[in-house]
Amino acid sequence: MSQLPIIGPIFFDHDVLVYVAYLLVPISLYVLYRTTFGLKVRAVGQNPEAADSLGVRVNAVRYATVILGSALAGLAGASLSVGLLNIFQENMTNGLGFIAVALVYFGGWRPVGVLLGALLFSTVSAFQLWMQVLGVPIPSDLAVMLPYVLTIIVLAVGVKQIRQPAALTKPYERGE
Amino acid sequence: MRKLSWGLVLVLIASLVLTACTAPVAAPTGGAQPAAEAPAAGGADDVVRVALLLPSTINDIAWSQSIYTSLKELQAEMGEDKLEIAYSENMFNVPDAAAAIREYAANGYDLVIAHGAQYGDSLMEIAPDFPEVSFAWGTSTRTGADQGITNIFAYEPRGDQAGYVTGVLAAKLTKAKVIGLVGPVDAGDAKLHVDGFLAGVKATDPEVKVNVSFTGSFGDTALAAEAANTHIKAGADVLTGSSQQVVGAIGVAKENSIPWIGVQADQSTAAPETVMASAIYDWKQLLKDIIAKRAAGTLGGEVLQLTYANGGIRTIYNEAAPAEAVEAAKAAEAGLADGSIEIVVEPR
Repeated sequence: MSQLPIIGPIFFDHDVLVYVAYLLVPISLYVLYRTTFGLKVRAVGQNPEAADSLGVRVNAVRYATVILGSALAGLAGASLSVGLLNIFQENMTNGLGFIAVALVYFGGWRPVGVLLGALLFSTVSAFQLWMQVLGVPIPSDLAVMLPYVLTIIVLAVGVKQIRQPAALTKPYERGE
Repeated sequence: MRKLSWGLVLVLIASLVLTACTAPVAAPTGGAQPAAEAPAAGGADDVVRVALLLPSTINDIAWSQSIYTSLKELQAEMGEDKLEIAYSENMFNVPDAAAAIREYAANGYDLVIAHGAQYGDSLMEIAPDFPEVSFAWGTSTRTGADQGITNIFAYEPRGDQAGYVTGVLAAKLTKAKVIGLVGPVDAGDAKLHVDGFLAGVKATDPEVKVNVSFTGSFGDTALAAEAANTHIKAGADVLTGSSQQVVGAIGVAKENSIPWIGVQADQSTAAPETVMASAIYDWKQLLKDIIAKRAAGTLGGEVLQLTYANGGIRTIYNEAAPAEAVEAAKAAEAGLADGSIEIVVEPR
């Protein structure tokens, strides 16, 4: 199907893991907002005391999410070396993980928001590569800055309030 | 819960301590041994201790690997008891590197090589504190002699010559008459390489178009791969580039069966069928010269170059490369070596 004109290369000419990433958006939406586990995850992030009083094992759920998140991050790293590049080099992510963290803020902790942020960042990144390859006369230093500058602008102008979980990074201990 | 948190703290501390132990600055103790423990026959010091600071890793198949390989070859030639080597990898950040340089200089190393243009200012500050130690710095032509510093050797690979020869080869290889170049930043050694490459292509076939892109980084392997993809979509049928991140681009070239032309180190190890040639930096003679100069009492103040004329740059060709193209490139090598070819850099 990658032979289809225009939409072919856009939709069918990528690595399997790219489609897995897209699939993860509806999956995580479903898990976060339609399952008991998702409700617990959101509860221990917003108000762990209330969750605890209703019998949710706060730390168990938190550890589970950390492990799940780490596994997904690991998958992302593996896709870079096994899927995209077929090679491993030390520091090959070149700080891409921090971009991922920034995208979580960017997307306001919502799966669809993160997807949109990621698409915006990578579109501009691809755009600046094309500008350079096609010889648009702007200094390369400015071109490589574009995706980052744009992310900052959108964050500063577009995102009205950062909707982060109320209990983010706060350790929970019963009775305190 | 409290017990669990303490356990976590302990694990964290343990992991920090362990990473610290493997941190590159931990130089082999051999370098810091007092003279009394040195072999008695040679008197106090007939061992040359060399420390190498690398922005990336010794197996980056580019900038860092080239000098490390040469230093190892020199060690094999001189004998392990005559040449001691210590190295620090991934020292891209200047403050880390400066600390390591000072550490090496203070621990009895005779020659500390700072293998990156970014280390210059730190070196100029450190070198006067250790007048007995020689330092080497590249890519640079500045030795600090104008500031009264006498113990820094500057070295510079003529990246434009490597670029010129690979440019001639690339111009002969391309059928679409479009070449893609994946560069790191438009400065220093990388700029020299791009300028030489463009000159080589132009001298061979003025109709060939070279699309140049920079990633703004030396280690962004993923972006280098993406850049290579973009070049291919823009019609390039030969790819080249410099710096350690090009392994990403080589992978893309391999997947698309497009020839890659390498510089700095022998890159055929990454993809034997894809890499048509590598213009490699051979640092052995340059390192030998520095050590000889030091032995003769010159601790620094000189600029050394890698060129085709002095054998510091050589090209390794893939057997599968078309003979006519290889011949043209070899003619360019000879021309650069005897001075009959002059590289004309045009403003971009």
